[in-house]
Amino acid sequence: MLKTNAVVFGLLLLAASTFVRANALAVVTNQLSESVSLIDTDSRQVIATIPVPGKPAGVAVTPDGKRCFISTPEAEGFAVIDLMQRKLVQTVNVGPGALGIAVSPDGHKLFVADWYHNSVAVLDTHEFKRLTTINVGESPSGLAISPNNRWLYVANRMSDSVSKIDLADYHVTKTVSVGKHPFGITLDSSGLKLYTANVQSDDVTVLDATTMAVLATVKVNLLPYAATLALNDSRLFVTNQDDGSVSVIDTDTLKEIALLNVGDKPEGIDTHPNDRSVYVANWFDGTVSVVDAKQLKVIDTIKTGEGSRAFGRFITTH
Amino acid sequence: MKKIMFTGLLVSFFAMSTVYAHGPVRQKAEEEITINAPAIKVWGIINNYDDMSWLPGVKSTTANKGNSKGSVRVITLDNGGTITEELKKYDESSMSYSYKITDMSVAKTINHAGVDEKVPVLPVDNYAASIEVESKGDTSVVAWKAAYYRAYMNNNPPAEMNEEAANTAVTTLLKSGLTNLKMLAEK
Repeated sequence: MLKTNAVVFGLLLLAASTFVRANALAVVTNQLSESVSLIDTDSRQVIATIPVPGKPAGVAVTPDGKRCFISTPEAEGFAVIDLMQRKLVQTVNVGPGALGIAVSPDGHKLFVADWYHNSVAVLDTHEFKRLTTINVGESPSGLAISPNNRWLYVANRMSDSVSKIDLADYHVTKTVSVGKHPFGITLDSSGLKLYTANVQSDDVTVLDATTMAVLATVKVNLLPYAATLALNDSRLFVTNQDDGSVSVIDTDTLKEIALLNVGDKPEGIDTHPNDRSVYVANWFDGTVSVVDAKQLKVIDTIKTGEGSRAFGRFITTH
Repeated sequence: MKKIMFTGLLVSFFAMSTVYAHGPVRQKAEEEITINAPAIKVWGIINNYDDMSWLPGVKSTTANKGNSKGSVRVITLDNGGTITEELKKYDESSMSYSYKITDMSVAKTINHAGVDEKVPVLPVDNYAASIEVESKGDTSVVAWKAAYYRAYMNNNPPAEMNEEAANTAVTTLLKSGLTNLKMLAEK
């Protein structure tokens, strides 16, 4: 099997060397300039800028790193980008408020939260047929799926709550109150703890992802937007939109151990597969800051496009 | 099937009748000006949160906690309108501060799609801004940045409350403020 793959890979390399890549890509939506920037994370250069109409906002990359799905609220759905060909290959209509978007870890299912219809659409990732629609709380935004593909978590922004959904039968098993206006949510690598960034209460709620019990509330800074984990889940990085900073939280002590200045109005945040580089999309500046999670400093700033949001998991695993 | 469609209609109806904070796309405006005066002099004109006299169209300003974080100022305009803003960050060392509009008086009421809509004095929603003075030797550069949404939060905004109206109003405000600041500082 490995041998076959190697042969196929070799053939592909010969056939279309420009379409082959080994590096992880960061896929950054530029909402105001209506494009997506692809950043090669080895060279930290933008290698392609792809026009995407419909005010692109959310991002979900497939586990194989070959495609990504970009939510386009004003086009009422999402765009499919082939990351090997680096082009937009399809657009799919979902509903008027398509914003939060995520792919299951097995790559089979796509989830699109509808801000206006208070629901999450579940689609297959091949033909984009709608499998079902799950009613959740008001203005669902951030989405997270457990590593075993069994549970879906949804931040209900205007309901100040998070819903847990059993993907075996698509029913909401529990909805719990968190801080005010949860937006981005992130799950640790074992699927045991869930963190929500609460925009209006300037804090992060830590939940037991199994029981949905609230374990703690951690104060961060002005208008937290989204969060990501690094260094074996030991550090949580939270973007503070109106503070132009990232709060770094020790997940054992639940104390803020650093506050890093990044660009203006930081929004989307994700961790590179090396588990050490954290990428932050700065909406106002139209840049991406790269943070070294060990040194706790910004090591690079990359120019992207106007209104960089990158809401969701936007870095491919390879 | 009919039932499903009916439910869908109901859901749409509720969605439209509710005010959402983030349905529309966030907008931004940024203006910069180079002033032929030292930064310390320029900062001295704008550094009191309770003094917006350098902005054309302002009659008076009051603030309840001076330059402390959380201080709430009320700006009264020449035309009687008011804008209330909360101080979010104040940094003397970097000569900058950030604030957020928390309330505004109504400039006019219009009828749109059969509903009375109140147009605020600055036709925006969820407005956050920052101003910073940067020293460049004997001169200085002032950057004034704002991020906001249009005033109308549902779909299909009226002309008075759409993105264009918001962007035009904010850009005009920032430009006139900086132009006047330059004039005052270079005097």
